[in-house]
Amino acid sequence: MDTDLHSPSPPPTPIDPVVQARLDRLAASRAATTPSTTSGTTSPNGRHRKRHAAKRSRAAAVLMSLTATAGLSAYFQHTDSVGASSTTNSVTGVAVAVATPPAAAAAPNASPSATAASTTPAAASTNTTSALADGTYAGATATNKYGPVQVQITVAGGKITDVVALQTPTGDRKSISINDRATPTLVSEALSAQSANVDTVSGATYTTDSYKISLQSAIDLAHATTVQSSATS
Amino acid sequence: MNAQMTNAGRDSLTQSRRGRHHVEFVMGMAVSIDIRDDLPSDALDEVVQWLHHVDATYSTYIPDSPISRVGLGIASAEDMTREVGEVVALCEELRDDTGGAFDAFVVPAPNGSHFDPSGVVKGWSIERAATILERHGATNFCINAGGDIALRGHARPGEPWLVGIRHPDLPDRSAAVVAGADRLAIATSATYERGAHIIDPSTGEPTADLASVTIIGPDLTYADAYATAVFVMGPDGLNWLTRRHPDYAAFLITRRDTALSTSNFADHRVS
Amino acid sequence: MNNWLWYVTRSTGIVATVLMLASLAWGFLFSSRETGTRLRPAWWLDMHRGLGGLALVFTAVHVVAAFADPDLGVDLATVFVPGAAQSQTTAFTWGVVAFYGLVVVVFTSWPKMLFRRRTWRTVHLLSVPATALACVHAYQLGSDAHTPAFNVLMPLAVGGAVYPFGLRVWGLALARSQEAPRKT
Repeated sequence: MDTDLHSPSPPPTPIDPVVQARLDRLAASRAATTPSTTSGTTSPNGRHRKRHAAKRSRAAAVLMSLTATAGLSAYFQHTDSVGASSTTNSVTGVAVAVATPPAAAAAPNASPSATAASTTPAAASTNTTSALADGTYAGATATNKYGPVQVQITVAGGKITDVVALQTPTGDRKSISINDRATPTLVSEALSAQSANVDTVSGATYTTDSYKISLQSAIDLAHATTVQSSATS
Repeated sequence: MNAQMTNAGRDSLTQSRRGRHHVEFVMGMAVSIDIRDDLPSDALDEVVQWLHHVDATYSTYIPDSPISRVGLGIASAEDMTREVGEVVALCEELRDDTGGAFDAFVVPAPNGSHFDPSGVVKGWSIERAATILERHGATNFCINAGGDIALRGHARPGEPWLVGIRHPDLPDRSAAVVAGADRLAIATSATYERGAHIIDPSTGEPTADLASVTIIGPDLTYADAYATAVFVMGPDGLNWLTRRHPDYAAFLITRRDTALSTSNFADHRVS
Repeated sequence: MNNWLWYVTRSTGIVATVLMLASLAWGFLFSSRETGTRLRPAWWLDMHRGLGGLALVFTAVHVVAAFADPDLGVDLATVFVPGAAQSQTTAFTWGVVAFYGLVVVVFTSWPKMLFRRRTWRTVHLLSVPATALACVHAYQLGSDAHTPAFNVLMPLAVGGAVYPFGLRVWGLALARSQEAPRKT
């Protein structure tokens, strides 16, 4: 055993005075720091005490590791959880983190005739046939809370035919599962749905003015049997 | 496309269809009630009456409404009906469930108090309205209250209701279309109207990082509140929703023309 | 909330890495000629072993928690087969290899007498690359690897292990340079 080489267990031969002095100093320092062992000083070889010290140090290491684990877990829970009652801070953090939303594909930027497409990307895609040349466009990489995101779109026949997330966050396993659920897609792509004959429209339409210009009002106008303007004219 | 409610336009289109399609301006918005069954007219009357009752009781714009008196701490015993208690309990439940992202107890209300349950009342009252119609035997109908929808049954025999989700920048375009049948609620929170009106309860500041959040699920009471909560949480809210309410789906549109959604949104989406 | 498995995965991973580094530091302080010739109490060696054993236990918990969390997508192959992970393959591979290294080191340190000293020492020195790989694994895959706290803690812990390692290597080199003239 390696222990034999290093432990100050009494060797069969007489103890070297230097070693003995060190042993004594060791015993004295331990007695000073840990009063509980002072009762055991009667044992001259110190073996009894050393066992205790080993046990205690091991217990301390175990305790510290467990405390660290528990503390870290609690900390992660605190910073991560939205469900807990005292998470106002984390909600704030979320609100701040969202300031950099996932990247949009840079279709209008990449297009040579991008100026033809008007300021809003959505409006750009309504004119897709004239504004977008066929090809594949990779958007700029943007970093969101979960890491870098880059979107690539494919244009064929003037229409966006495919949207692929080229780069999804990879630094964090958890974010992968988030992004499996939520891979960014282009809204413009879905604008083709405009032609769908919908029965009703979901959207924040809280005022009469916004209602009047909404698709829902057109649907209502087409179908309504009775309109009652009791609150507003 | 401005809605001029002309009689001519209405009459020519409604004769061929069964059911009723009624628009009621109440609670400061248009409530479209589209019933595809033949029903006695008192069903619709009761719903309209209910909506006006809700407006009178829960309007935070009326300083003397029961809910205003509750918020201002001057409520009498008759103000605190079981129904009002139910709404307050719902607000508490949702505040705890969303970790404060939806909190009716901190946002300043127009009546000067700090209790504004409007975000709960809207969805809750429309779900109740749907229950009234069901009690009268209606099985196929759709109520759209300012863009928040509770639907039942089918639009036409064998065909689901097709619901467009408004594009944030284009009021007459849909960014996505979902199909819903039997029982479904679709609620959208957005900032494209009235500016940034969704307040983050933790900061008291308006949030405007997302363009719109649409929640789809069984109950409009919750879908509406979750939409507001996810709006405040940002994309992180998708994770919250998936973990806590897997029966609800979310569709987020960011300010940069990208959409994020929970995977179960694909179950509803048709285009 | 069933996120707790994820929190346990993260915290045990960090604690296990620190324990490995601490055990390594302890071991080198113990064997280095600069520091190791001093008379040590028995618990010193015991501590070295204790830290190594604890590192193994926490790594095991880390692996089990990662496997048990359905959201992390860690399957049995990812845990046991280097290079089997479907994403983050390299980062996972370092972790798996480091885990095997740790297992070998810990389980050979106990029946040490069964090996020739040289063989044992070579096997035992596997702990150095194993710990290094564990650190790389932590840096590449850790959810907290890019947080300020991690950026302070990890260099400190690594430095704490590298310093005695350097002492040991320097001591060996010194010994060899002293021996070399004698041989020729």
